[in-house]
Amino acid sequence: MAQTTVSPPGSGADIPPPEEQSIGSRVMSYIFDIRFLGVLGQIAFILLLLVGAQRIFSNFGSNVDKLGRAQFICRDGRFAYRCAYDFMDNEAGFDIDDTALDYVNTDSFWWALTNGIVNTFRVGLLALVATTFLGTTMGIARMSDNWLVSRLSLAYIEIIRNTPILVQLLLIYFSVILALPDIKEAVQPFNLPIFLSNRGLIMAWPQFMSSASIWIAFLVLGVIQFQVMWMFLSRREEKTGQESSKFTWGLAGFLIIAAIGWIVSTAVAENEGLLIPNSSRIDEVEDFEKLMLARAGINHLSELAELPQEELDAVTLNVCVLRESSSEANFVNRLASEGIPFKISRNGSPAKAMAKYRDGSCEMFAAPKSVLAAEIATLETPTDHLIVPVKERPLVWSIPRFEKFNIIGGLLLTPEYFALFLGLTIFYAGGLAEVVRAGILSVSKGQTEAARALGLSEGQRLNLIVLPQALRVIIPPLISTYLSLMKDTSLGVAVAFQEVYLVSQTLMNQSGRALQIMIVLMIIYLSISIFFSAILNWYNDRVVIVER
Amino acid sequence: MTAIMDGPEATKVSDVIVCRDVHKWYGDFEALKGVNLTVEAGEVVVILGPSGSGKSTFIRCMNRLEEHQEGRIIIDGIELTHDVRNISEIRREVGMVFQQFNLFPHLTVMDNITLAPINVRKWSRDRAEELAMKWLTRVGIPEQADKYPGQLSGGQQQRVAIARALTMQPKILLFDEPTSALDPEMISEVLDVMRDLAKAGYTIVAVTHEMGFAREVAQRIIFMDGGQIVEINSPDDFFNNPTHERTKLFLSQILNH
Amino acid sequence: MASISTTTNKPPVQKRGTFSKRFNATYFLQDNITGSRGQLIWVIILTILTLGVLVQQLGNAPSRAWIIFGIWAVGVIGTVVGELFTLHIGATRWLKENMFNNVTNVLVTLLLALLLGIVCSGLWRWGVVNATFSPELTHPDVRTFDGASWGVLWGARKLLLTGLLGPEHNSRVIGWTLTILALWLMSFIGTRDSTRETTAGTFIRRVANTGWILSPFISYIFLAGLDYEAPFVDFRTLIVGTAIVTAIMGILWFFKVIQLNPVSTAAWVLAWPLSYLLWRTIAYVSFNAEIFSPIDPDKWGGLLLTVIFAIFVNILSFPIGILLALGRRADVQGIPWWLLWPVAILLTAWGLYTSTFGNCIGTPSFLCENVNLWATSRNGIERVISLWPLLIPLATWSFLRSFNGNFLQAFSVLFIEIIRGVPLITLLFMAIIMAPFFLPEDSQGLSNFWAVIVGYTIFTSSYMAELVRGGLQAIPNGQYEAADALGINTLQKYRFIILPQALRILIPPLAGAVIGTFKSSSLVALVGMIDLVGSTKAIIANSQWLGLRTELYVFMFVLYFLVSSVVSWYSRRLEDQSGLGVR
Repeated sequence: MAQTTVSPPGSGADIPPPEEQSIGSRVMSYIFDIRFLGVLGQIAFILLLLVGAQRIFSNFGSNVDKLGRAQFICRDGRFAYRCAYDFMDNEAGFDIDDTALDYVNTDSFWWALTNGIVNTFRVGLLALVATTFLGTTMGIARMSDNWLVSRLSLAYIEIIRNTPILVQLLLIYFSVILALPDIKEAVQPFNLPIFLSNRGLIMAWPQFMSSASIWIAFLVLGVIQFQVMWMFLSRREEKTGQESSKFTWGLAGFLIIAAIGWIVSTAVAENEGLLIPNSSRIDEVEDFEKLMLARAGINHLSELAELPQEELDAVTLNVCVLRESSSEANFVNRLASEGIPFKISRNGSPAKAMAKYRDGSCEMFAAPKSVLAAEIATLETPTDHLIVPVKERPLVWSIPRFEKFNIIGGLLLTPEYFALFLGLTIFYAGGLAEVVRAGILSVSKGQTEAARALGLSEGQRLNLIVLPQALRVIIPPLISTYLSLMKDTSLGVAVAFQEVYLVSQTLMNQSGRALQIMIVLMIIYLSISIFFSAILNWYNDRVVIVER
Repeated sequence: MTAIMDGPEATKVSDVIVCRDVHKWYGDFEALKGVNLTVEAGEVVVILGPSGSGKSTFIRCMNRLEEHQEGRIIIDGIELTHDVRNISEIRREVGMVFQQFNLFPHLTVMDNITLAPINVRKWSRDRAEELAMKWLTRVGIPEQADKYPGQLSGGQQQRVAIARALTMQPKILLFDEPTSALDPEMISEVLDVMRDLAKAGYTIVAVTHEMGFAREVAQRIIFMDGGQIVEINSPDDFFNNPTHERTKLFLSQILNH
Repeated sequence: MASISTTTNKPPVQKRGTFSKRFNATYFLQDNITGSRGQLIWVIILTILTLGVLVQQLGNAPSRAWIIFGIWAVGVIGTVVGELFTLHIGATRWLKENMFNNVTNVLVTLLLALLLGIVCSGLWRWGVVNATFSPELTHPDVRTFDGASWGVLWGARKLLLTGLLGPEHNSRVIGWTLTILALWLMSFIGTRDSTRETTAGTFIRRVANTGWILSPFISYIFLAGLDYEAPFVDFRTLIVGTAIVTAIMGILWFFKVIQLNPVSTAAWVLAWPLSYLLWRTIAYVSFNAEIFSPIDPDKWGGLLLTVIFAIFVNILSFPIGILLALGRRADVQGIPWWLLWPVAILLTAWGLYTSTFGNCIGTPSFLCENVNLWATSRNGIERVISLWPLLIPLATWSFLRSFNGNFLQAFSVLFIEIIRGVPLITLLFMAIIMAPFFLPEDSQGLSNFWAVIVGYTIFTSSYMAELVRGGLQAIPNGQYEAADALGINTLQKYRFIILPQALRILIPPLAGAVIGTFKSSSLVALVGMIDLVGSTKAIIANSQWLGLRTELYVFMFVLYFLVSSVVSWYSRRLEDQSGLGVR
């Protein structure tokens, strides 16, 4: 290229000589320099902000000094700003009804706040999943060729989007959930193990036993197998052109491995035990049937139904368990499957259960062996008692059952949790439906036609052409929807669900430290928001279509 | 190399555009690598070159739509620096016509044209409209004055854009590929107007792909490639005996189609 | 779900199949039932579900279920007959195309109709058949418990509409409502296609526009009333105000946004004194005549408060939003590093010297703990925190890196993102509890109303800013360039070229934001304001209306729905009108 360029015309002779400028005009041209003006403007803006902040914060400082000395008292009673958060170690002194972690009102403020955070995520994440399903369904239903379906989903979307979430939430909580029948007449849709009442939703729920870790290891193995099988079959397909249903084979392999894992973990598990007196002459759990027959003086368990109530009460087994422990579900399912009548006494701690065991109000105590081994030593004559192993499966269903005026077992979603979950899901699904619809409509018709022209099958067209393009449009607003949903969990305050906002509010009332808690609350919400923004940015950077 | 090359005589008073060693970078990419050009008053200069050769960037540097980082650009005796007064002074004197017309879609044709004269030149509305009408007549669409740009054809829109630039009474006109976005049948109506302006003695710098126009109207043709001026030549010499291999290659590619 | 397969997954060979002219049983089966394993399972599940619901309904509510089933059956039979013997009439053709075009849809239609029947009849019985409408029948002793007691709406109308506002102010609220309605009506008439070009239409539009500009003052006089303080004219206010208006005029003139002639100059200079005097005169007259005596904003309530929030917050946050959006897009020269770093280092050193390692000599012992954080820290975390001045260079570095020293941009971005990152109630609550900290010690405190307005406005302006930014981004770059090339300055560029176009694009999203603000204003109930939703608490506490929540919530639900729908309909009309002559 060197010979093709025009050589720069020699010396500086051809450059017009700078105009003779007076110093004044030189200075003026510096002042009017666009860069100088920009920086000057910004510095002026900063100064303006500083002046404003100074005015506001001088008031703030004096107010804090006046009423705030108490805010910064250390544990030892001294005053220091650094002790702003010392009070968080104090006893919380209020209850949180619905917690995932162990919490009592003598725990610290920190622990109460942690429970609030966990509750926020507990309701938020579940609603997030449900919203995705409901929103997608509604968005697709909106485009249905069935007039009734598309009209109904249109009505849903319009109504939901044009009313405040707060009113929806209040309607759901006060007018629907609290208006459900009492727990004695709980609604049981389709005779499934799901009970709807004004105490919330109770449903059967799987509980992991301690042997589940073995089974889960097998499951992971199964997933790996699936991948390997898929890769292997794909490669073979490429080489030989011989088609095979990769999914079916992979799934079959996975199921086989899962079944083996189930058998293995059932066989090797020996964590669960039952504490009984030697005198009951039971060596293993199978003996219960004999015991029952002997007690009731009958020949077959089916005759139990014919016994009068008092006699039945007399022969019923009284079992002590630990509250919310998986041992309960395991043992109860076992007794129930054999048709043995039983009564459960649920205890908060092993010590309480042992007390009942000692005074005879329960005949046996079902718990993990390790717990029993420790507790048996506390008995006066440990040798009079023995621990019978109870068989367990890696996963047991905790099935709700009626007992007196209550329903025991299963997973309980409290009315507050359930209302907030439903409210968030229904509201955000309305918005998401529009997002999904817009996303699918955004894939131009030409793309569909091009795919057909290439001879792709309908499934391939959907998976390879339509979905990837629609997802590009859908995912960014989807993530924004998620973020808004997570923030709106703070509406729990309307239905008294104790998520982080309501807990913080209570903390402020309890401690009188508004400022400190407000800062923590802001940091929590900002972290959530930054997390979602980071996902969004990551996605945008990765998937953005290069278009001009 | 040739007689037309910019020499020391470039400092004449009649030179309305003087560019000396103009450099421009976009990040690490050097878009202009030391461009030198002098244009006299009343001269018509056409810039040719393959796409990405920096010709649009160069022309946009002349009214500060792009900022050059090194070198000097002096328009009508005013140096283009960061001084806001100079920038607005120069923009007032330099009219520009864009590839995509860039009319204001929410304003009528008349408002499009008179907006700048009224607000920048501080003319009365009557005076601005009178002159606007004159220019609309000159470009052949006086009857469209009250329509919105969206109601006009591409060729008509581009003529409105030219009228808009001219009503400011600029000393220099810059055309940035004015016909590239037009349907073939509309190109000629725009080129006719440009030809007319060239004859009327306007100083014009145009980036275009219209070889016929370049050959007929230009007094000098500048060929750019890779951010540099490769050749400056009279139209006849440029098309008939170009000096540089690169020019020959370029011409052979476009003329053999 | 039935529809997925039929809308997005239409087989290319569809013409051959469903209910086509020549019916072919094999094709029919293949297209509707046995197409794939998934389809087969789906149809079976759907059939079982539908039959289950049908049987259950035939048992529970036979008449309704039989009617629905009968209509459905007639429709299906008609469609099938029409298909098989090509005997379609209009109705059956419609049914075939919109409801019964395949087996799945036939079943889904019945299922949905049955479910809809359950819901509708339940609502009908609760809301109409078993309901009472007299305000006398709302007391728990005389109430019907299986239906709504709509009488509460009439009985509690006072609380629902204006909350705790004294009845003596009713006339003022009505007057204000009528004024706003009249303005809106005038705008509506003035912008109708048939009238907008006529002289009368133009006149009405002008009057309405003037009215809208003055509406904040009119509203203030009506709703808040005027307090008259002793001196008739406060010269300090007069002079400062005039100076500010004149300065604004000067700036606008300097940047050539406005032009001045003797008349307009006089108008600008006199604008403040005249309106100030007018204001004081009205205050004086109304004070002496006791027309517009002051009302405490905390007394506002019910629907009135909701409306005030919506209007106030939207009007306040829109300009702030525009400024934030412009700030976020501001393309100014950043503050250079050689200016920033020395300041940052000095500040850091000062912080380290005074706070981290300060010495206690000469300071009272209780303050000593706050000036030597390093030495007095009790554990590792506090030791780390005591090094807080090191955050200053970190912030400087990231500011230079992310924003190239562009402070306007950094400020707008941080403001917008932080506010958008926290829930609205947190901001409202914070505004209420933090307000006392920021007010002068001797003030008697901000009313909750103003605190909430401040918090809510901050929140809404961040969202508005993002909307406006979207609108600005939608303007093609060429528009900016064309304006620059014509020599128009920045203020003029935005005033004449960019904002008019951006705002037109923004009408639908802005209408959405206005509706959103209106809806979200219900959240103020959660921080103790007695707005429409908040008034429920007061109403159901009354022994007459004890526990009548559902009626109130349903009423609010419907009210919000109607207002939101009207606003969005109006915005579409506005959009159509402003789209005049634009591609």
